[in-house]
Amino acid sequence: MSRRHPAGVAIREAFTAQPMLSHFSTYQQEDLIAEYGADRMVRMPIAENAMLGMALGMALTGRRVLFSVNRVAFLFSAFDQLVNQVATWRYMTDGQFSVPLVIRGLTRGGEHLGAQHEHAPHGMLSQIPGLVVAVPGSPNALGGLLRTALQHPDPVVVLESPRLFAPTWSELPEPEPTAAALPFGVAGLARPGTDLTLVAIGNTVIESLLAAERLATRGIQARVVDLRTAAPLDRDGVAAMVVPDRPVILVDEQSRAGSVMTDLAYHLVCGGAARPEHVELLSGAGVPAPVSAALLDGLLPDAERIVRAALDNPAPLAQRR
Amino acid sequence: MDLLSAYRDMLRIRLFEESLLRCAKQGLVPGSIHPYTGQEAVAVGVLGARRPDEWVVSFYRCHGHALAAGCSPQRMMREILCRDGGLCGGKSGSMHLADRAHHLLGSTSIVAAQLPIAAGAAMSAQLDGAGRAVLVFCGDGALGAGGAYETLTIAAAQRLPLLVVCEDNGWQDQTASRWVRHLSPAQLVSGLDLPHVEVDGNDVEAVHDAATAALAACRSGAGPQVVVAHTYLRDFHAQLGDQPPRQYRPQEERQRWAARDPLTVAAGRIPADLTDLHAEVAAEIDELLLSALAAGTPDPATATTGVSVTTDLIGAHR
Ligand SMILES: Cc1ncc(C[n+]2csc(CCOP(=O)(O)OP(=O)(O)O)c2C)c(N)n1
Ligand SMILES: [Mg+2]
Repeated sequence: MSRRHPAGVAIREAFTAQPMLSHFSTYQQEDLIAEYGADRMVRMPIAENAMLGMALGMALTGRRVLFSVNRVAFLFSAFDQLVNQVATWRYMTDGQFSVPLVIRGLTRGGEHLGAQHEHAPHGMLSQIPGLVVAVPGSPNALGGLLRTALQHPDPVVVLESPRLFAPTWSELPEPEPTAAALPFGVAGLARPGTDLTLVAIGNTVIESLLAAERLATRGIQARVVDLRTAAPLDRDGVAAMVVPDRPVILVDEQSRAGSVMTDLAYHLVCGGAARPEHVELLSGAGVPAPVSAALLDGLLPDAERIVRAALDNPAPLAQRR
Repeated sequence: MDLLSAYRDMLRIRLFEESLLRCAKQGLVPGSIHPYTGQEAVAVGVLGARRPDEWVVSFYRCHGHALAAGCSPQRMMREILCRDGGLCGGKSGSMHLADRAHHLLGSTSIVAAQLPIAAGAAMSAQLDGAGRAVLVFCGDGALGAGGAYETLTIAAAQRLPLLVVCEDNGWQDQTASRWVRHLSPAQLVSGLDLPHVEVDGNDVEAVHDAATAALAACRSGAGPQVVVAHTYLRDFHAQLGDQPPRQYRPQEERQRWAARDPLTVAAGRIPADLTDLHAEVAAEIDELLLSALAAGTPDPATATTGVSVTTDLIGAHR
C-alpha cells in the first residue's frame, strides 16, 4: 500500500501553504507538531463547544481553523456554536466578516460503535443555513473536497466515513481520477451507464458502485451519480445526469425523514426529469444505530439491496426489452 | 469492608476484562472495548458503600462499575459480545451498559454527558425524600467539558445528593491530561468550593472509606461530594477491532503504577493463600465466556423496537 492517503496529503499541503491555518483537536500527531509547531497544532481538552467557539473567534480575526472533532457525534456537543454562531456570523454582519473554518468528523461504517458514536447527519446539517456539508464517497473525493474546504471563505463540515480510513481503504472503488480540488455543489458522474441511475452520497457511493459492478455481470449498466455535497445540493446537475425514462434509485443511509434524497425526488419529479413511478428511495431505517451486526444489517442499504431494488423497479431496464 | 470479598470482586473484574481483551484480539468483540483493568479498586470500593436502591450512572469504561453494581456477568458478557441474552439486547454493546434491575441507570460514550443526567436523577432522589444518593463515575478528562462545571454548580446550589467519583488516571485517550489542563481535578473542584477528597484509587479500603463518608454526607443533605481517585489504566485506553493500540505512555510510568496494582495492594493485606480463589474465579469467567460464545445472535426483528418512529424502513417505498 504505497499510495499516501489523500486526506493526509491535502492537510499537509494546506498547513505548508497557509501560515494562518491552525488545527484544533483533542489528539495531535507528534509528526505534525514537529513539522508545524505546537502553537498551530493545538492539543485541546474534551470541550467541543469551546473549541468551536474559539475556532470561530480565530476565523473572524483573519485566521482559518481546521477543527477535527474526531467523531461527528461529538459535534453535537457544540451545536450552539455551530448553528447559532458559526453558521450565522457572516450573514448577521451583512458580510463584514467571513468564517473560514473547516470541521472534520467521522460518520459511521463498519465499526459497530453504537447509537452515540455512529451518525450520518448530512441531511440534518444540510438544513442549517450557512453551512457547506461535504460528504466524500471515496478517498480521492475526500482529498478533493478537503482541498476546496481549506480554501473556502465560509464554514464547511466534512463528513468522513471511517471506511475511507480502514486498512483496506486503497481497495475501495475510486470514481475520482485524482484528489484535485472538487467544486462544492457539483455532483459527479461516478460511473457511466445507460440502463438506470443510482444517486448516492458518502457511504452509499461505495455501495452503489459495488452494486453497479454486480449489475454489470447481468448485462445491466447502472449510471452512478455522487452528490459530493449535501449542501449545496446539485438539484439541476442531478436532473441533467439521470438516464431518461429509466429507473432512478436514490440511495441514502440516513432515514428518509426530511432528507436530501426526498428533496431530490421532489425536484426530479416536479421538474420532469423522472416519472414518479420510476423514482425509488432506498434509505436507512429511522432508528439509532445498534452495536450488534445482526441488528444493524437490516437497517442500511447495501449493495445487495441496491441490486434487488434495481431488478424489482417497475420502470423498464434496457436489458429487459 | 470485607477485604477478601472485595479482592474477589476486583479479581472478577480483572479476569472478566482480560478474557474480553483476548476475545477482542480474535475479532470477537464488536466495536470498541475500554478495559477497566487497573482501576478495579475504585468501582469495588465505591459501590461497596452504596445501597442497592441508589442509582449508578457510568460512562463507556463501564464494565467494572456494572460488575461491582451487581449486574450479571453472564448477561454483560453476552451484551458485550452481542450474543443472545445480553443486558440490552445487543443494542448497547461494550460502552453503554444499563441494568434497571441493579440500578445501573446507564452508561454514555459521550464524555461528561453522564454528569447532568446523574444530577437529574439526584434531583429526583431529593424530591423522593427517602435519603438516597446518586453515584456517578467520570474520567479526569470529563473535567475539560463545560457541562461538568454547569452540573457541579447547579448540584451545589440545589444541594443535590450526588456523589461524583472522578477516576483520575492522568490520561484522556492518548493525550496526557496535564498537556491540556492547568489544574488537577481536585484543584478544579476545590476552586468551586465543593466538598471533596483525594484518595489512593488503587487502595480498595481507602476508596471504600472515602466513599462511605461522602455518601453519608450526600444522604444527610450536605449536598454534592466529589471523590477524586488517583489510579491508572493497566492496559490501555481502548481497542477498536482486533488490533491492540500501540503504547502511548512512558514505560517508566507504566512500571511505577504496575508495582502498585490494586490487586497486589489488597493481596498484601490478606494473610490467606489466594491461589484457590484465583482458580475458582478464572473457572467462573471461562465458563460464562464459553456459554456466551455458544449463544446465537439477537433476533433481527428486535432492531426496530424501543423507538417511537420506525416507519422509515428500507424498501418501504410506494
Ligand atoms: C464529547 C466527546 N468528545 C470526545 C470523545 C472521544 N473520547 C472518548 S474517551 C476520551 C478520553 C476521556 O478521558 P477521561 O475522561 O480521562 O476517561 P478515561 O478514558 O481516561 O477513563 C475521548 C477524548 C467522546 N467520547 N466524547
Ligand atoms: Mg482519564
